[in-house]
Amino acid sequence: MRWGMAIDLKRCIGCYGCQLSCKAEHGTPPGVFFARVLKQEEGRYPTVRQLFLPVLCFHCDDPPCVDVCPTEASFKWPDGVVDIDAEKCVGCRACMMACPYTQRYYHDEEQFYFPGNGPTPYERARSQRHEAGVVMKCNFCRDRVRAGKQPACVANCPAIARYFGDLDDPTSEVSRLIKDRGGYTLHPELGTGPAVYYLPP
Amino acid sequence: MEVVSEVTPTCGARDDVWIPSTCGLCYGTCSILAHRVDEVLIKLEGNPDSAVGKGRLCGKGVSGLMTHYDPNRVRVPLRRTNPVKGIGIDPGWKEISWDEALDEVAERLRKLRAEDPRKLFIQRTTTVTSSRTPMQVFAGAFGTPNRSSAGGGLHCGNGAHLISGIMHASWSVVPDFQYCNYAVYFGASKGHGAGHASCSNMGMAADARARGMKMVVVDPMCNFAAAKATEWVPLRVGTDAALALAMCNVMVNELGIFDAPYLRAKTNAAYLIGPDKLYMRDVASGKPLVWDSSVNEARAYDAAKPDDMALEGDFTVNGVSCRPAFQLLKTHLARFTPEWAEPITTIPAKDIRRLGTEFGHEARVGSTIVIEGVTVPYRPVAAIAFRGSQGHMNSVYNFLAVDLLNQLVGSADMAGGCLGFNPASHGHPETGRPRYIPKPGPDGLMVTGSWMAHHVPYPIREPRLPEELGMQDLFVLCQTSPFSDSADREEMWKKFELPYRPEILLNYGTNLLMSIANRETVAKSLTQFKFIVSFDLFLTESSEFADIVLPDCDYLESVDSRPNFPFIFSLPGGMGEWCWPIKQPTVKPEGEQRRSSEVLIELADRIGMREDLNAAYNAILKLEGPFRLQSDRKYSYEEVCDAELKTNFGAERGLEWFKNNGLIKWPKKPEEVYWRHFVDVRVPIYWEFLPQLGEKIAALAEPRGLKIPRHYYEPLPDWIPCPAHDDPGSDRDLFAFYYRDIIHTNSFTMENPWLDEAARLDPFSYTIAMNAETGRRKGIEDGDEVWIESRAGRRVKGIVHLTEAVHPEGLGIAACAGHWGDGMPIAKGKGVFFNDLLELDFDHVSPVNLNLDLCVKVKVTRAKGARR
Amino acid sequence: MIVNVRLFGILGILANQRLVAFEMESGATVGDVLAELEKRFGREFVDRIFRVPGEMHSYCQVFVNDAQVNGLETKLKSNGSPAEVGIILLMASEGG
Repeated sequence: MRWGMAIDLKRCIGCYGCQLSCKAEHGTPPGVFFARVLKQEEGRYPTVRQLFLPVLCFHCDDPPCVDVCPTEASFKWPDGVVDIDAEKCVGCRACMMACPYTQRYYHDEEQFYFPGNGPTPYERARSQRHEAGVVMKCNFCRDRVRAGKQPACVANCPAIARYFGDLDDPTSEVSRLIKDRGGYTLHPELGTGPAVYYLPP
Repeated sequence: MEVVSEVTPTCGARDDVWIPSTCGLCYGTCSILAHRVDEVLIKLEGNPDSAVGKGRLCGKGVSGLMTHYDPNRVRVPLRRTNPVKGIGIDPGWKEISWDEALDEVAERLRKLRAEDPRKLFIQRTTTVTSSRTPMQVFAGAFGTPNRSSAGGGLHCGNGAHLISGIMHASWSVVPDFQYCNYAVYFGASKGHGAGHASCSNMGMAADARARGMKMVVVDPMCNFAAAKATEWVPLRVGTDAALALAMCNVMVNELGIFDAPYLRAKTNAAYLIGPDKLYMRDVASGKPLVWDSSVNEARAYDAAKPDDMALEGDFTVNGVSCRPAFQLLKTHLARFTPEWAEPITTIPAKDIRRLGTEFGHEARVGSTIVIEGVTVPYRPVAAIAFRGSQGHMNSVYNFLAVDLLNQLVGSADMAGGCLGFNPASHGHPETGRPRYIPKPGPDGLMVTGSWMAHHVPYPIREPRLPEELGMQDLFVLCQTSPFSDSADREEMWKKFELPYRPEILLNYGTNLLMSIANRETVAKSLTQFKFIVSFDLFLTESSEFADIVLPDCDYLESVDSRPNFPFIFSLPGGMGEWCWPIKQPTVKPEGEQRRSSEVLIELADRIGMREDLNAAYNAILKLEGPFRLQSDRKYSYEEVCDAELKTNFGAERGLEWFKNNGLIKWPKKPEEVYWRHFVDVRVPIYWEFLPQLGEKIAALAEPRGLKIPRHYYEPLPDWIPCPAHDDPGSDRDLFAFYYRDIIHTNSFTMENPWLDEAARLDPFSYTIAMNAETGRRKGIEDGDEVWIESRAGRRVKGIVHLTEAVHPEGLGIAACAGHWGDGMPIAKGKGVFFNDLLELDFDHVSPVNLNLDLCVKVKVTRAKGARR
Repeated sequence: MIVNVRLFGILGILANQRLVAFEMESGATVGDVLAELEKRFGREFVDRIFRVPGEMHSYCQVFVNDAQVNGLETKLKSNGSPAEVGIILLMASEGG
C-alpha cells in the first residue's frame, strides 16, 4: 500500500482551487502552503505555452527530509505518507534544506491573516492548533483520508485534474493513468522516488 | 468519497452540520456545503449533489470564509457627518441605529416618490445575484425605470448579452462541451476562469480537451483559456470582427461551406431584401417575403416550405429588384479576404484561411447524431465570444461577426455547437414549471422564452425622447448605460430634454468609482446626488460618497429561493440535469448586519408601497394560486421565497423542504437542450431592423446636435476601428486592455487575504503584462515600475511583468484592482487600476448599444526611482 | 360587469389613483380595459404600456383575477364578484 497522486496537466487550468482548498482545509498560516500552483512559460512569442504546475509534498519513497531529521520528527508512515510529528520537531529546518522540491515551510511565529486584528473565528477554530517554531507540510490530508475521503485538493479540483490512490495496486485509477498516459515525476535523477506523478499536457 | 447532500449532523450533542447553500464570491453561484461547528463556519466545499459546480469550487469559492469573517466588514449603520464629498475626503462616519437609518431613508424616499419616482437611481453589483430580484421588485414598485449594474454591465453586458439574447435566447453562449470537436474562443474564457456556470464549465471543458476537442483561442494574451488551447492566435486588441468576417468569407466564398437547410428554416437568410435594405413585404399581411423556387414567385416566409426558399439569386417582385439576405451577406463577405484581415489583426493570412477552413470542415454540415434516442443535427463546432471581443465601440458587429460563424454552418444550439445556456425548459416533471420556450415574434424572429428582466432583447422598443436617465429608451439596444455617470451626462440630458434629474442613489454593493471608468468622472457624478444610501459589506472607495451606509448580510447569512434562476445565466448548458438550489443562512451575523432583502421590504412598508411591492413580487416570481402574495399583508423575505418554491415545486416543497434538501433536480431532455431543431423560430443573420433603428434614433438625436454614425447601423457586420486604433500619437504605441483574473471577482476579492496572497505570488495578477521583446526594445525590465498614460493624459502606475505570452502591442492588466481606500485594508494598494485610463462619454461607447470601449492606446514610461 | 383595475408602481402614481373601478360589457378584454384607461388618463398614460400600437411592452405585466396574461385579447371574467385586473410596469433593465 502506497498512497500517491497523479496530476493531469492537460486538465489543470491554474485556477488555484488546490492551493486555496488546501488552505481552507488546514488553516495554514500566512506564507505556508501545503499545495501551490506555479506558472511557467515555455517557448517564444507567438509559439509560447503557459504551463500551470501544481506542486505539493511529493511523499518520496526515499525522502531526504526524513534522513536528515535529527529528532525523528520527520517520518514516513507505512502507507508511504511523509509526515512531521510537531511534538518532536525542534525547528532546526535541516529538512527544508534537504528537500529538493522546497515543499516544507517553517512556521516561525503565530500570525493571522488580518494584521492587528487577532484571529478570526475561523482561524481560532482551524489555525491556532498549528504550533509555532516547527516545520509544516502536506500529509496528503491524513485525517480526511482516514475518514474515507479524498485529500481536499483532489476532492475539490474543479477541472478534475487530480487523482489519488494506491500506487502499489496496478489496477487503481491512479496507477492506470500513470501507466497509460506516461506519467512522470519531477527530478527523477535525484532518486527520491516521488509519489506524485504528472500526466503530460 | 463521502457525499453529504442535506443538513447532516455529523455527531451527537455539538453543533456540527453541513448546510447546503450557494456560493457568493462571484455571479457563478455554485452550490456549496457549509460546515458549521459550534456556531463557527470552518469549511466550505462544493455540493456534489448539485449540477451547479458539481461538488467542486474554484479558488475564490473555497476562500469565502476569509471574506465572511473579515474584521473590516461593516457591522452597524453609519451616517456621514462631513457634508463635503470627494475622493479621499473622510465622511466622518457616525454609528446610528437601524431605526434612525431606516426612518431617514424611508422619509426621503417617500418624499421623492411623491414628487417623481424617476429621480431614484438604483444600482447593484453583478457579483451578488441574490440582489437582482429584490432590487428589480423595489424599482418596479417604487416606479423608477432607472437601474444599473455599474461596470459589470457596461463592460460586458451590452454586446454579449444582447446578441446572445437575439441569436441564442440566452444571456451568454458556450460550446456544447460534451459533443463539440472544434471551438474558437474570441476574448472569452468559458471553462477556464470565472463566469457563468464557472466551476461546472471547468470540469466540462477539461473533459472536452481530454476527449480531443480542439480549442483555438483568439486573444491578445495567452492565459487561462489560451494556455489550454490547441492553438493560441494572438491578435491586435479589438480586431476580432476582422478575423471572424474573414473566416466567414473563406467558408462561404472560397469553400462554399454553409448549411443551406438551416439557413432557410432557422434564420432570415431567405428573406428578400429590397434596394432600401428593408424586407420585401407581402402587401396583404405585411410579412417578409421569400422567393419560392417551387412556383417561382415571392411568398410570405411562413407560406413557403423552407426547402423551396431561394438563398441566392436576383429576383424582381412587383417591379422591385431584390435579393435574399444570404445573397447580400455572401457578396458583403467577399471583401473580407484573409489578406485584407492580416494587417488589421496581425494574424498571417494563411492562418486565417486555415482557421476558416478547419471550422467549415469540422462543422460536418448535413450530419445528425442520436442522443438519448432523439435524432438531432450534429455540428461539432462553436465560435464563442464574450467580454474581450465585444468590449469595444464596435461591440455589436464584433459579437455578431463571431456568431455568424455558428449561424453559417448551422451550429447554433445544435448538438456539438454553440449553445445558449438553457434557452428552453419544459419544467419539472411533476409541476411543469418553470416552463419557457423561445417563440416567434414580429417577422418570425425569435423572442426569448426567459430573460433576466422584463426588457427582452427582441422585439426592440421604439426609440423616444428619453425618460430613463441612462437613455436606454432612446438607445434601445443598450442595457447598462454610461449616462448615469458619464462626463457628458448633463449635456446629454439637456440635449434630450430629460424632464428630471436623479436625486437619490440606492446603491447595492457596487464600487462605481473603480468599476466603470476613470474615477474623476464617476466621482463628479456621485457628488451630484442629493442623497446616497448604500448597502455594503465593506466601506469601499464609493461608500465614502454615501450619506448612509447600511451593513448587509453576506451570502452565508442570507436567503434566496432562486440563486441559479433564470436558468439562462449560470446553470451549465448541454445535456445533464436541471438543478434548482437555494441559498440559506448558515450562521447569524456577528454584528448588527441585516439582510438587504428584508430591509427593502421594511423600507417599502415605511414608504407606503407594500401593495406595489407584493404586486411586483407576484409578477417577477410568477407566483400563482394560493401562493400569490396578498396585497395588504407584510411578508418576510423567507415567506416570499417559500411562495416561489411552492408555486414551482408543489406545496410540500417550500423553503423548509429546500433548507433540508438543498436543491431539486431532474434530467434534461434532448428536446430542451437542442430546442432549436424542434422550435419554429428564426434568428437574424441580416439585421434588417438596424438601419431603420439608426434612422429613428438620428431623427431624435440629430436635430438636437448629436450625430449618429450610420455605419454602425448597417444590417450586416463590418469591422470598424476603435478610437485606440485611430490614435495617431507616435509615442503611444501600445494597446492597454484588461482581463478577468481567475482568482478575482471585479474589485471585491482583493480584500480576501487568501486570494490576495495567491495574487501576490502570481506573476500576472497584480502586474502589467508586457511582451518581453517590446520591453527590451523600450529598455524596460521585468519588475520595473512604469507609468502608462492615455491620450487624455490619464495615468496609472504599475509593475511590469515581461512575458512571451502577450501580443507585442498589448499591455494586459488583470481585474479591477488598485484600491486606495482604508475600508478594505488588505486590498489597498494592490494591483493596477486599469479603469482609471478609460474615458466615459458618448465618443467612447458603441453608438448602437452604448458598450464602453475598453482598449486604450498608451505610452509607457519608466517611473522614477530604483528598480524593484 | 364591474371591473376593478389596480394600478401599481409608476402607473398608480401617474393616475394618482390606485384603484379604478368601472362597468364593462361582458366579454370585455384586456385591450378594452386599456382603452378605458386611455379615456380616463389620456394617451400619454397608455403610451407607457404599448411598445407599438396593439402590442404591450414585454415589461408590462397584466393580471386578470390573479392570473398572468400575455395578450390584449384575454377576456375578463366576473363570476358575480368584480373582475380584478392588475397592471405593473417592470421597466428597469438588467445588465452584466
